[in-house]
Amino acid sequence: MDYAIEAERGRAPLPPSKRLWGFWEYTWANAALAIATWGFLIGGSLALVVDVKQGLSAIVLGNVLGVLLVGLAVSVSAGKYGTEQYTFMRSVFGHHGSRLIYIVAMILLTVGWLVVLGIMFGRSIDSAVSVVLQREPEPTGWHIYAITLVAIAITAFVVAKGPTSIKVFNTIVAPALFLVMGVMIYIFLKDSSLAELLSLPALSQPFDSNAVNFMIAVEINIAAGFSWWPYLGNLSRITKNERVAFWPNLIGIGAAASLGEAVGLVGAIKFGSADPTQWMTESGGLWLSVIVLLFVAFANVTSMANILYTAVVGLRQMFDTLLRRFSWEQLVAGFCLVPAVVLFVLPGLYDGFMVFLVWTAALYSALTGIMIVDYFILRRTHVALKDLFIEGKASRYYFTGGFNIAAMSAFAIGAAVFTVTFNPYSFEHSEWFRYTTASLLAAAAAGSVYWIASRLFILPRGLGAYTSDSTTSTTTK
Amino acid sequence: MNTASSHDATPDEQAFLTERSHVCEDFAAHEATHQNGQLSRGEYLVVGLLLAIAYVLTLALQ
Repeated sequence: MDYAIEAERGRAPLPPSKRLWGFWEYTWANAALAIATWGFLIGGSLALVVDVKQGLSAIVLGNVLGVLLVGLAVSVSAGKYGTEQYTFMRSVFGHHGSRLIYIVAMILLTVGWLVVLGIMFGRSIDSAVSVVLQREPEPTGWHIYAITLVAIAITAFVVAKGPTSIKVFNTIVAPALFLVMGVMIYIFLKDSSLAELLSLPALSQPFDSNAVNFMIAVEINIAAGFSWWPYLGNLSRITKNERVAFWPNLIGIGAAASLGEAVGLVGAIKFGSADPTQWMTESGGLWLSVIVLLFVAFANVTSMANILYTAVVGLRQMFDTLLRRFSWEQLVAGFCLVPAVVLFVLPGLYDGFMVFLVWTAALYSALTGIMIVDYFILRRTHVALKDLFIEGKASRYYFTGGFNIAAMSAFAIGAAVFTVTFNPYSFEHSEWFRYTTASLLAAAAAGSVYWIASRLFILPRGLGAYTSDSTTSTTTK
Repeated sequence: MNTASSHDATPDEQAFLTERSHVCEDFAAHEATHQNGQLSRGEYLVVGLLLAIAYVLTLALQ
């Protein structure tokens, strides 16, 4: 049994000497993941709220806030200890609590994104065919469902083959997407100056107040930054140290995602549709449109493969005893049945994806606040590594019945604060929303409640190894 | 290491668990000392400043 392979699969911490990525390798890997088609969707959605100037500001500010906070929550500890993210979370939520958070946070997001990106694949193919056949696209036709299922099947096939095939896909598609964005920017500037582009108005404005509309745009971008929460820790653990685990997030994910969103925003406003698969058909000319749409379609498969792989790795790690008898291929196929069903149960997910994105922010903002407080304030950046891998009551991270009640309560309160401040369905908001945002307030509220509850109920009972000797396990060696 | 899965472990698995235990102990032994690539106070200050500037600009640009 090779230790490095087992550690890569999450069963053990990766020592620094066995980690692969330096600063620029991690930056590139981050950029490859971030420079994906979801950037077009998020940017296109911003066009329904703000104009180009405000949208660009919101993209930069929201991504800086979201990515930095998520990096603090999951990347710093991952870079130091090299531990799988959901295994590390046992120190915060307890063994069973960590599993529950995995189900809520990881599966929900991954299934949602698989459906959204699969439909985008279907619509891109439909638009490309429409351009060639000179007919109107049918973005809600039955065939979109069929093509989406094909996209999910292709993704399952790629992931079942293992990480090497995903790496090949990444190596081809990520640079191609940079090229595609260059082509799109060329199309924008072909008949408009930069000043004209910057002065374009919003497609619509949901509220009378410009300040509120701008804050909604910032909120969506903070949500986009927070949406990296389930994946970032497990990527950061492959880096050589804390510094390499943290700063490339800002360059790779922050900058690359901002570029994709900016292209989506400008394209949507300039051509009058938030859906890039529609405006490309109208703006690029016959063959350029077909080529770009096909690239966009297959870029979705790359994104889907990346998130599906991370989700199934986590699934196997979290429920090892239960799922040990299933092969990797069976787990991948089984997981993919869920989005295939959700596609028909929630057919409006693609068009309402902004609601989905904001809902995920309600969860991740609370998780981010809790994890920052736990690691930096309560633990002073020291974790008893051994106890993370000890199953059952022998672990000092077992808390109460496998759950850290303080963390679970703070999580629920943080998510509730978010929804009271900003309703993910209607975007109705409280008076204080324009000053606090919902994500930042929820993170602060969850973190504060967690700190207070831990000081009052957890530390006095000696649970969770919060004492100064937390680096030394008391269990049998 | 006292893990639930170690009771019926094969020799291979036992060797893996032993190495994992060593890695964890090694981490713990060096925990108190400054580690290569550890984020400095100055870097945390920069992070705090970036967050504060982004938040203030968000309010200012409304």
